[in-house]
Amino acid sequence: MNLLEFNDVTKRYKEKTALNSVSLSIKAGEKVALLGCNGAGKSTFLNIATGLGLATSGSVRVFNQSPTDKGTRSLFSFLPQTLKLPDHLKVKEVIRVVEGHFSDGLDSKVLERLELTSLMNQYCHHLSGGEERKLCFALSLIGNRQLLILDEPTANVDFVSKQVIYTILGEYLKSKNPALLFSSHEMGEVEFLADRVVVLNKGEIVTDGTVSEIKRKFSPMKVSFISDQKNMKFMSTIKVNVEGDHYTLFGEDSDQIVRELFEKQCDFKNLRIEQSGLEEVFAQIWGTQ
Amino acid sequence: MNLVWTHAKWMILDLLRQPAYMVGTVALPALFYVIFAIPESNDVYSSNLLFASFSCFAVFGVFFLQFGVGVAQERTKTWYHYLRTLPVSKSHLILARFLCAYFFGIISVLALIIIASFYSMMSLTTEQWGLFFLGLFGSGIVFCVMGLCLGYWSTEKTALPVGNLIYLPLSFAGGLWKPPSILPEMLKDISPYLPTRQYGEIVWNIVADKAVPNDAIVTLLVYLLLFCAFTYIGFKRDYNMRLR
Repeated sequence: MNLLEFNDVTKRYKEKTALNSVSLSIKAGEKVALLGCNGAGKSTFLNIATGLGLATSGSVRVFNQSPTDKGTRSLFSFLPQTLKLPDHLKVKEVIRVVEGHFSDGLDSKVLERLELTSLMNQYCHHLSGGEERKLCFALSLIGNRQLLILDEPTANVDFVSKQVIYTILGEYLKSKNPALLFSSHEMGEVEFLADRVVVLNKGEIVTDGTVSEIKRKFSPMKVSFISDQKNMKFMSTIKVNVEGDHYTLFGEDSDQIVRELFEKQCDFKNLRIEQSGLEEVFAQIWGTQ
Repeated sequence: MNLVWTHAKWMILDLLRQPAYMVGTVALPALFYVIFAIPESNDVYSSNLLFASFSCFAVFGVFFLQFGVGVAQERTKTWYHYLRTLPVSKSHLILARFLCAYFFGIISVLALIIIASFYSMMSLTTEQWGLFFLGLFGSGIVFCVMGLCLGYWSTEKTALPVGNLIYLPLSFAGGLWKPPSILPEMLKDISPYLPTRQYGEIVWNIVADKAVPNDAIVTLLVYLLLFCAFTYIGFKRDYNMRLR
């Protein structure tokens, strides 16, 4: 069963088309990352999926119902990209407000691990940006919901807290197996959490596949080495980066690249062959658009 | 009902902790009552009428601004957007806002009751008290809807100043600060057509132990329908703006 289904969805603002004929479905248990540059349409997509925004045309179904349906809203949780909590409420009161909608409360261990336990009596306007974001993330785990929709869940959060959030989320996904749809600019986050990646560019889906499929498709192998030789030309590469004496060659067949190096009797050292990271893959995807 | 209470509770807490709000809604009517009404409360009759007037002024302010500013904020603040993704219906949130408005309305009237019982000759029978609260808070619903109307037709930044620009002149012109008989001539002609005047007429007649005039009820009902219509148009406008 599809938990989320977008059929030919278009969203137009006055002069801008934020989403253009987007069709996408997410099945139970799938972990989907939504990627794209700023303004690609990610937040618009997520807002429409959660009923906060309305599509200009096309159909949106969440759990086979309208996302604005009250019953649907008990099945998914949403962490918006920006969420300013009420200044004059305490942390524990905000948690209680959200818990009031569900039979399951928030696991106190989550609060401990996010270092929020000592802040329970603090007013929200006394929290730092990172603390507020961690609290918002914790709110999204309240209730036993089958679909988590998170818009840049670790934005404004320090490196250590990011790792804690990944661990908590990873464990949550493993134990409860909800579907996950999240947007992110953090490639480490994407590789850790997602098993499917959807790339949006200018409101259109340009790529949809598993992390390994996308890596294979867009930039399979990376060969790097150090050499004093200048102006080397290669036949078996897609792209060559040269910074001083550091060469980085990208190509589909790393064996062929290395063979070419030997054929050219290239004097090289520190040869490394590795799979490209997602960051390089997306740089290439957006470069080709 | 639990959800309504959950939301009413946080709304009340949020406002209780804002001194500016408490001063504006509770202290201001009490202060005006002390300045303008207590010196004129020379006998039971005038004490009762002036107490009723300033109670109307207090409830009008709380209901109108609570809904006006609250709804305008709902349309822009991310917290309210977030609430829309939780399994709670719009009607629950509106009911919670009603509870919150009634809570602060009761507090502001309680402040007046305390002042009146110490510094005026105000005296009401038990039956009059019952009718007073019924008339005051029952017909006050018109101002909740008037506030909803303001909330949908203004922005978060303009709701409070625009609300005050409506609240204070309407209170004065409706005879809630000074009896209608001593209003300037021009206002005397307009006054009977204002919702605040008819609101006052209902509560004044209750505390004067007279029958509530039907005209006042009918006029308030007409205003209620009018504000409902403008609120609906404003709501659709807001919805269409989200659609665009």
